[in-house]
Amino acid sequence: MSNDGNRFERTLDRRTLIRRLAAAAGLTTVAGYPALAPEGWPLSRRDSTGLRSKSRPKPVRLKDFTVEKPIFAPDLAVGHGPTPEERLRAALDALGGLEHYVRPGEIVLLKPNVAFDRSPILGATSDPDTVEALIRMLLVDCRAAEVRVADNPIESPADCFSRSGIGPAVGRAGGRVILPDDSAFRVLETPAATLIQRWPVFFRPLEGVDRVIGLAPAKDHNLCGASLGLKNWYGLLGGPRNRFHQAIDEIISDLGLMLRPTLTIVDGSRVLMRNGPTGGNPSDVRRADTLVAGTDPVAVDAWAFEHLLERRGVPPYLVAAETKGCGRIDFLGRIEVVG
Amino acid sequence: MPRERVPKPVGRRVIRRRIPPSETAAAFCVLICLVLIAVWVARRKDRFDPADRTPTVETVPYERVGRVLETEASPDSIIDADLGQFAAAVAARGWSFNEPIETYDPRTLYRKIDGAAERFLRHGFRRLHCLRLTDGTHGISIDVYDQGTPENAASLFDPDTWKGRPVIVSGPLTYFTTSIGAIGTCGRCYFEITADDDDPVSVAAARDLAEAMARLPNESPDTVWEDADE
Repeated sequence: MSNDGNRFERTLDRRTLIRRLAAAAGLTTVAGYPALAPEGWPLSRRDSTGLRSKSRPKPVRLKDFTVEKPIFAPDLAVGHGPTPEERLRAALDALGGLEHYVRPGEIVLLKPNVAFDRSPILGATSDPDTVEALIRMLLVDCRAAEVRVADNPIESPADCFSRSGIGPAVGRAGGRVILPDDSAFRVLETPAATLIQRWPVFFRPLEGVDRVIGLAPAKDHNLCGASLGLKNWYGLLGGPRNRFHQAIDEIISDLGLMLRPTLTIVDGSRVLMRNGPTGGNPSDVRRADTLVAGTDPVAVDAWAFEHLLERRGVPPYLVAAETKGCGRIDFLGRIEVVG
Repeated sequence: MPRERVPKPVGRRVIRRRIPPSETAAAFCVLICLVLIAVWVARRKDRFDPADRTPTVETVPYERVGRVLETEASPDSIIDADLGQFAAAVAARGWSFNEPIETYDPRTLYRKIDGAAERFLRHGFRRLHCLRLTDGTHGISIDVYDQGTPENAASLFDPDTWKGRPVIVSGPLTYFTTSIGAIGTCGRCYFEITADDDDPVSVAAARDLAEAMARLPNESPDTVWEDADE
């Protein structure tokens, strides 16, 4: 640089030009290889079928929603009374109080049975008055931040929530109904399960939830004998779940592994004694004005089978559930009856 | 005194030897904001609010799983759908069809009565037709199961259910009333009529509708209902 006028001038010699051209060609080749190389080649990103770019969401796992019960409390409690609120209070207070299980500020998922667009009189769905009373208790007594109510009926969900009376009941009590749609499902991993190790589940209402409570009606079921607390979780399954009817005892026992709820409640406000699970005749329905709640879903179902449905023995799915470690059938000495 | 800007010898860009304190402060502010956003995202991740993506009851695009025969909501259109005298008899009682009729076959029955379908499939189920009537305030559901033969339809009666109740026989029609409707058979069809609630007006209407079921097809299985599907 002899002077300021030549400061920015610089000649490009042949060697430099070739070197730069080679570098540019190398970079282009490296950048273009993944896109242009045939699909079988190493590092190829070619996607002629579109399958490679198809999203594969990671399977999710549910956490354990159980809460340690107070030392003095029984595993399950039965509440009698003329109104749903009295029944709920009687049973839940015996378990240590609902406030013990749900802390202020927590988000609670309440899972009723809304499987059919039928009148509540027929006993095929959860009793809307009990749903309403429980939501009020959760919001007022426990000061829960939010109570979500969800189910995945195969029929039109909006119709089912409306005609069962549960949709309006949730609205009156201040809860929130979450309806399923195609984007609401995630593949859930349940490694210990037999049939649903990886299966799509209605997951959106479970996002960020702290506590899960099942509120099932007690009803007859023509395939498995009874539809109670464990069977209630069947309503969260997505996919072609009707295929499980061929192995219904296995799937119900799997459901006990899939979700470990905070509380299981089986409501005997209306017990569908025959022609379940849909019913159709109000004379098949018995008003028991009884409710059983507990931390052991297997024991709750065993008690409801014997005392609400008035059947002897235990259904096969409960035996399978006990074998899989979901709970214990024998409820004697673990129960308190109130009211 | 050092020069603040010095030209690079090989290019036209300039570099600075000193960054003003104001720019440094602004950069720190931006950095702090980014950190705060990252912390907020990390905290919110587990508190996802599903309401953000929850469709309302009015907008949920649920699938009408049954085969819809008619979308027009008038009694005439039902008649046009070849449901014949049955539809006319129902419409004559002052209740209107506000929803399309849904039809299910053995392959899709579980979509209507998941878990209960096997009971009907065991007895030769062929088709289910679901009608929904309303008077503006109350609703009545009519479910008609075509079981192929009168024997199949009759076998769906649960003796425990209608024991002690007066069974009404009127020509091909056999039924009994329930506290919110009626259950019976007509020819090869088994039907359930159910009012949404125990309101006396709708219960009376639901029971009254049982007589209209006498117009259900009694012919061989491949006549009236098959025509209705075409």
